[in-house]
Amino acid sequence: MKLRIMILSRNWCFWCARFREIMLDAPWSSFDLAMSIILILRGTYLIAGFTMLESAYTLYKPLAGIMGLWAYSWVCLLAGLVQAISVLWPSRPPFEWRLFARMGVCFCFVVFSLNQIANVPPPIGAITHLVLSGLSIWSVLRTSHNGG
Amino acid sequence: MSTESGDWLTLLQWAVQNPEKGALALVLLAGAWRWVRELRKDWKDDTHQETFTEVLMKENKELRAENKELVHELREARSQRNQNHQANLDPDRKR
Repeated sequence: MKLRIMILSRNWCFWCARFREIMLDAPWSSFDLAMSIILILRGTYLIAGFTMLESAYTLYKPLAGIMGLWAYSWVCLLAGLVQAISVLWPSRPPFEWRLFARMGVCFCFVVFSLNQIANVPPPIGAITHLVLSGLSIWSVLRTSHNGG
Repeated sequence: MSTESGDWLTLLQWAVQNPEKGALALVLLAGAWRWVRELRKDWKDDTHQETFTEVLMKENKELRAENKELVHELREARSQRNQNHQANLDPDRKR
């Protein structure tokens, strides 16, 4: 029994160490690239059919009331483009540039995440948005001069 | 404790009801925190480098002093050897 507990605790520590390694040391560029693609596509989609989206989905009504979905679509597209350029740049861009790009992505995801959580009942996509916004906040926090 | 949790709940409610303001505040806070931390790290590294330079200069000074002493000893030894050599030569000349 004692041995089993020891094995379990060792396994648990192993998983913890692996999780820590992924969150702190693993390259984050694939996540950045995925986020930038999502935002570029979302921005394009909103620009193409924002009036339809505003009238068809009550979910985005609170957002539309504040800044207008038109503005959000441009913010998403620009944030996605800046992040894509930052990720695809041949050499590592300066710290300030990478931080700014990640902050833009983080803003877009947190806005949509909070908007979806505010909806009663929250749509199923709220979970995805919540996780992605959490990870994008983490991406801002783990940005450093020497990588990250 | 309950007042604190109530405050946090109010803040969370406000953030959910105003998603753009909540997101902007959160992002600016996270970005500023990260920026300040990097600046502090840079400043610490600079300070560390300064002390390292000071250590190097101190070591250089000590080595110079040691070198000076060694040169002085070497000169003394050489003059002593010359004197001995002269003393050995003198009896031959007397003959």
